Amino acid sequence: MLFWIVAAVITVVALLLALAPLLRAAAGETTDDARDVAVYRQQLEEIDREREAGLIGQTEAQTARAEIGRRLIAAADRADALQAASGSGGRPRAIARMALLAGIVLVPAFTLGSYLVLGSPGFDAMPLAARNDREVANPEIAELIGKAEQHLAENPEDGRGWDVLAPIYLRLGRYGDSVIAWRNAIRLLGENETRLAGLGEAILAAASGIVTAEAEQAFDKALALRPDHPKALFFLGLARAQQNDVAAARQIWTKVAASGKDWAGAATSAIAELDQRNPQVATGGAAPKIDDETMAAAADMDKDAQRQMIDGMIARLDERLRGQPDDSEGWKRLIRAYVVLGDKAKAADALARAVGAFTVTDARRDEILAFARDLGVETQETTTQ
Amino acid sequence: MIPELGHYALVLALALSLVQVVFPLVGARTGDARLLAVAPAAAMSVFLCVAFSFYALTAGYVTSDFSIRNVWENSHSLKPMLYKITGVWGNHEGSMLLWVLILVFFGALVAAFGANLPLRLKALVIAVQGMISIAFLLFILLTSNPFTRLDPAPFEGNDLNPILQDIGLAIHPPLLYLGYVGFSVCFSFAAPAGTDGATGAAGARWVRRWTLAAGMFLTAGIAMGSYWAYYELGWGGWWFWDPVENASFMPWLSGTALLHSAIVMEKRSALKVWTILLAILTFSLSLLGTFLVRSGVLTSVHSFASDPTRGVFILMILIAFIGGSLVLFGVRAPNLKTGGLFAPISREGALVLNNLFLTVATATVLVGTLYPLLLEALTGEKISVGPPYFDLTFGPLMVPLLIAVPFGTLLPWKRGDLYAAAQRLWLALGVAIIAGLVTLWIETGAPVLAAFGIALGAWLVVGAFADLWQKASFRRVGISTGLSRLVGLPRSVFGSAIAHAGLGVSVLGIVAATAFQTETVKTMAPGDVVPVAGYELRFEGLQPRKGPNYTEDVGRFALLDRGVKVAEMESAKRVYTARRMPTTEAGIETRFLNQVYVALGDPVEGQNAIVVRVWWKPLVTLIWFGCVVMVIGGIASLSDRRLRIGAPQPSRPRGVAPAE
Repeated sequence: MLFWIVAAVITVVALLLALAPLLRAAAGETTDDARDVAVYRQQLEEIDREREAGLIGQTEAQTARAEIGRRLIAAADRADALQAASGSGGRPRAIARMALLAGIVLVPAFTLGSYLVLGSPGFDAMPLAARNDREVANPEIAELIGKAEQHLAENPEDGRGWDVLAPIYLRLGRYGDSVIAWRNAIRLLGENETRLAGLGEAILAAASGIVTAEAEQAFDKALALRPDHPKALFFLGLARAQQNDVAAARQIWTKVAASGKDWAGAATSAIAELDQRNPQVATGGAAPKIDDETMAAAADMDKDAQRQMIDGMIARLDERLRGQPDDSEGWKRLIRAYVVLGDKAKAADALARAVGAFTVTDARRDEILAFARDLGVETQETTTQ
Repeated sequence: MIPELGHYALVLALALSLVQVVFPLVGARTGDARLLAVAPAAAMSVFLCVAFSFYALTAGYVTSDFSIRNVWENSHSLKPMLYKITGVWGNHEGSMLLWVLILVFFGALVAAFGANLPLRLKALVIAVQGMISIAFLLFILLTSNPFTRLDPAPFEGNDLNPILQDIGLAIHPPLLYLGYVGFSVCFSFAAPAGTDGATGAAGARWVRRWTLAAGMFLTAGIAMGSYWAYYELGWGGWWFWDPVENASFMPWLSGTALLHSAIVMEKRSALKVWTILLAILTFSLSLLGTFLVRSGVLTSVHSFASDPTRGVFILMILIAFIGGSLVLFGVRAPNLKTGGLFAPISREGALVLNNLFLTVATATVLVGTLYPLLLEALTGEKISVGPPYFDLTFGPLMVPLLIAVPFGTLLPWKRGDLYAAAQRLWLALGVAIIAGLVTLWIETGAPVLAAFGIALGAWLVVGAFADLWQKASFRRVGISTGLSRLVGLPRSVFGSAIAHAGLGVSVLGIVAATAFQTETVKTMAPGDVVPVAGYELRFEGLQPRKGPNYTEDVGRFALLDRGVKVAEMESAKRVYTARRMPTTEAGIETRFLNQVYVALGDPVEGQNAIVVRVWWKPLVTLIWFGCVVMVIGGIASLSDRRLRIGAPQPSRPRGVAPAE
């Protein structure tokens, strides 16, 4: 609300400033020619000065003076003629009033309309300092991280440091850094279930919510060390759900939920979601984009029909990208869809085609390659690079 | 709230720019003074809106608000505050916002200080400025919006390109833009050509003043960019005839031509058509420069993230403004009254000669810049037009022009005497010949061309003051009267003498640094010594070091003069951690006007040694020092009272009819 009030004040002030001349009583103005007369007069004086200083010859000065004088007389004549002609004018008054009205109505309308299309009204500023207070509940977090990073840059063999930093990175959304930190911690301090589960979580977060083969492997290892590790179990359930194995997912999550420990709440809501929706949708935005309506339709269908529908949509996307390969987002969606469906061969094939669609210098090509690598999809080319 | 208000203010600025264009045009048609008077008021209002918008974006950078996409892409919370602020224009979107800010600032200046302009002319000029604002505001809002938001907002940004993390970014782009955009005002005066516009007596003074100011900023901006590239890129060169450099050099050349033809138009009402055309061409070249750099046609540090839609948009702007103004010019030019007559040998004639050479030089640079691009677009063949082309075309064009410069200032208006002028230049000629001979003597076996170049520089520097000498006429009236005459001379006379001398200083630097520089490439182990033009450079060793956001290997050197250490030098290879980007930090030591320049190459595999490139660059600092002198000349000329007043200020309250 405050935003709109301030925006309205800005608009009114800016408009007043711009349209103020229309509010004033009609005023005559010096004509162009009257002003030119002044300038020509000054030029004449300048010639005299230059003549005195000996900068211009006698004859030249005279010719120049005559030239300027001719222009001066012409301008003065025009000015007088205009002065005589002007004076009557009822029409301009009406035009000014119309212009005022148009300005007052159209400028705010245009601004508001365009801004609503382009802007994000009500989206508050999010200065980092304030966010650290609010979201991490620690004003010095950035500074602490900075110190920890500096410490680790100097002592990269300090496993404890990596161990502490890794979950903080994850919380801050620096997933790639978190993966590296966990790997360093494991390398230096050895594997344990917390580090392995953390690594898996970071990998899947970096892959925008897909449990990649690499992540699953980490969870498996964690569970081998401690079979009831809730985090690892929860994400294993997610992996099953993403692989379309609804029964296994439900079984695992039921176990987590029953344990009553950390991840029980998350597991309960995951089961509820599983019951409500198509298994592909439980991946949290990782499935190919499907609008709400189709999703509702899909929920009513039986499993085979669902699968069929999804296959159909993916096939259409595939087909479209053959025709219009210049669409990096489309390619990413297709590769992700094949990964979610567990069809590695097709994913690799899609990646190969995607890579072929862009030139080597195109940044989007690298982007797709990196994206696919995070999902565990590789082509001949990515492995040789 | 602030970022969204900034976005809103930018849209409001667009709406008000429409008012700034439409109302005065209607007013000019119907002869309604109130509608005409809306133009300056709207220009003020637009300026305030854009300034607020720019403030909002800057606030986002300062507070590291990563919910603004542009901030997230180009900033980092740990970046030093200076680079947070300069980062605002260290990227495509922000730099376009700066461009528009300067554009509307100039519009507001015309509005605020245009009291001595006829209202109708002032309104039309501001309307044309408004058209340019509309085009660029649309460009920003539709293709390069700096206020796009991110939800959820990341906690850390991507950092700024390390090459741009330099004090140079704080100075170079704003100066360059002040120059580029300054020519927009000349364009706006020229576009409504005819009885209105630049050709009127008052308009001519404005055009000359703005050209001068814009030219000064452009000179400073180009010099700054050149020095930045010199020390940051580590190639030891200060000018590469790179298309991006040419993009800023072309408006400078044609702007210089415009500056000189505007003098003729102002003082003698001649060359009107030509001046108008030059004003249009100069701003067109500024737009072309923006297009070349921003569209992604050229890849360089300047291209940031390029996007084809932006290129097409700028191309459309380019076609609309250049095409539109040229058509208008074609229609109106024949109606322009021809000005005063003059003989070929006269001040006017000399300025025409200057224009002839400068425009042809602009054309050669234009061809050299665009030809490879066109060829690649049409045939796919990649060629590179480099220094050999420009040395063969641009160089020979400059020589006669530079020889002619001292003559030009000595010739009187309307009809002059070349022989009389030459007589006054005997001193300059003598100094030039001696300078050339001394060069040959010191650098035994120096190329004759280099000696000639040095002579040319000396000729320019000394010749520049011949005009002052003559005007003071010491020999005729004695020292004291001469001195008082000298003091009484208008500042613009000093301005032109200083600027021309600055040109000579730059020429000296360019010739000396090009002809007499020495380059040594040597694999050096700690303790090794390499001779550099009478000095010796000893490699002390290589050591790793950490900066705030980079790590570097620093090579330390000692500069020895006959065995005595006179300076320590450091040259480093840096890697910026956030972007894994390597940069070279050259070691530069200034000895008098000369410089020793050291850059590190690659370490030698398996040995404690590294490839070191050492340059001796004699008089190289004169190149930039000359530019500074040119700018000082510009300031002197601009401060001339006669240029500033233009026409006497009517002493009456605003908006009340004159007493006449």
